[in-house]
Amino acid sequence: MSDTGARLTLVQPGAPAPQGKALAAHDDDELMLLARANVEGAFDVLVHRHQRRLLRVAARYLGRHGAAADVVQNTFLEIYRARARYQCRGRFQAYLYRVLLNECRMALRSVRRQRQETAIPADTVGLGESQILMRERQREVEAALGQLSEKLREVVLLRYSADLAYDEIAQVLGVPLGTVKRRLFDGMDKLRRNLGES
Amino acid sequence: MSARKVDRLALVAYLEDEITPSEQARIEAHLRDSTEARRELLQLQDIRDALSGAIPELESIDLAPAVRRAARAPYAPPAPRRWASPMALAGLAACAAIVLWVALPERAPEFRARSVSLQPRREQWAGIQVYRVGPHNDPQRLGDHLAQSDGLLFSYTNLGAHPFAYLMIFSIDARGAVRWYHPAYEREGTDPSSIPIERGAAQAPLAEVIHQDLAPGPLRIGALFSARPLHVLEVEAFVQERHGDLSDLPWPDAALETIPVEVVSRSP
Repeated sequence: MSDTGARLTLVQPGAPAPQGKALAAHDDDELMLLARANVEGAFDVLVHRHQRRLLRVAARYLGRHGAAADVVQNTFLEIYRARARYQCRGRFQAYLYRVLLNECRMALRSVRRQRQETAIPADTVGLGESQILMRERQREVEAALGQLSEKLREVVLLRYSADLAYDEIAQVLGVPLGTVKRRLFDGMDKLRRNLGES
Repeated sequence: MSARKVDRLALVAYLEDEITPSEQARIEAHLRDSTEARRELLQLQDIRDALSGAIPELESIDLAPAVRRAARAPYAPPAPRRWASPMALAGLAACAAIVLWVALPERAPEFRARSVSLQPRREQWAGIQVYRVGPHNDPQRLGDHLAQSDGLLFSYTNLGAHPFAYLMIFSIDARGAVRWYHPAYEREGTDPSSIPIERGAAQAPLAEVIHQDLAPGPLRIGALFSARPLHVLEVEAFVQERHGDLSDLPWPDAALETIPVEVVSRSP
């Protein structure tokens, strides 16, 4: 904490990127400090570093790939706007995914946009056979994921789509390590059974 | 907890390498003896791989420019959005004759979309299909009229040698207000981008029924196909600047389909 705090004092507001170390070489906490000092490009590096995994988690959480970009954009925007209050404790990923899950939950509970999975008559849907084959497995798993409880789904996604370690998942969700493991094991077992493969 | 349940959870723990050496030996012995256990382990690996894998249509998205733009944008409520000019309604009436897509057969299953800057070899077949959803949640192909209380549901077609990659769907009502269907635009200070679409898709559903506060009178539904993601604020700025004349898009690899419809206060 004191180490990263000391770095902050070296950064002038609006300054160009520090010499001698590329922005991409900084860790997440350092980049948040640089973004706080309005160093150009610092927050972009954070976005580029994490956006792929966040998009995968959001798309699978929501079951709608089209909504994922907005949810992830809102996540980064919220973090950017709160950068002045960010506390450097080496837990940026936990913070990032906590905000993402909140955004996902809000998107799912939006009252203005009503989910209706089977709204279009089946005979009007003409996806090509090759596309169906390409995406079939992924969609089957994503559909089964949607049948899990929120608690189990979150742990499974954080573990596999976000590639977080158990202790990071515990930080994101604010639950003990044992709870993370139990939910993951239970979630995977239920997924397998939901897919009709038992 | 049954013995069977313990075995199943133990398999997940084994997959995760979260077991003690003695448990590992026990499970590996069980795997050697049980065809079913080996099959279940393969199924779990398959699920893990599916959830770890990339989602192709999302991989090329770069959110950094949108985040920068939204961070700079002043706070303003996202709806209602209106044209500032009193010429708005006149523009709305005039553009029905100007917009390229109006000349095409309305609500055909698909249509040929060619923006002015596209090369002839880059022909693209794209379009949307629109359904109105009334109080009984029974989707009907959109006709000439739409009730104020109806929701809208969309599917899209994106074919051809060089299909598009992104889509936005919005409407402009009789008050000149721009309403967004895809992407969702519901929070102030944000600037959502086009949704990624599948190349080669025919009538691919966007499975959401969306209700908007529409004024009675003429409504244009716009489907903006593009090669790169566009943003809500830049499209709204374009609509406002042009007073609703959408005939000359500023985005080189984009094409717009417009569908005129009349909003009525009662269900048609």
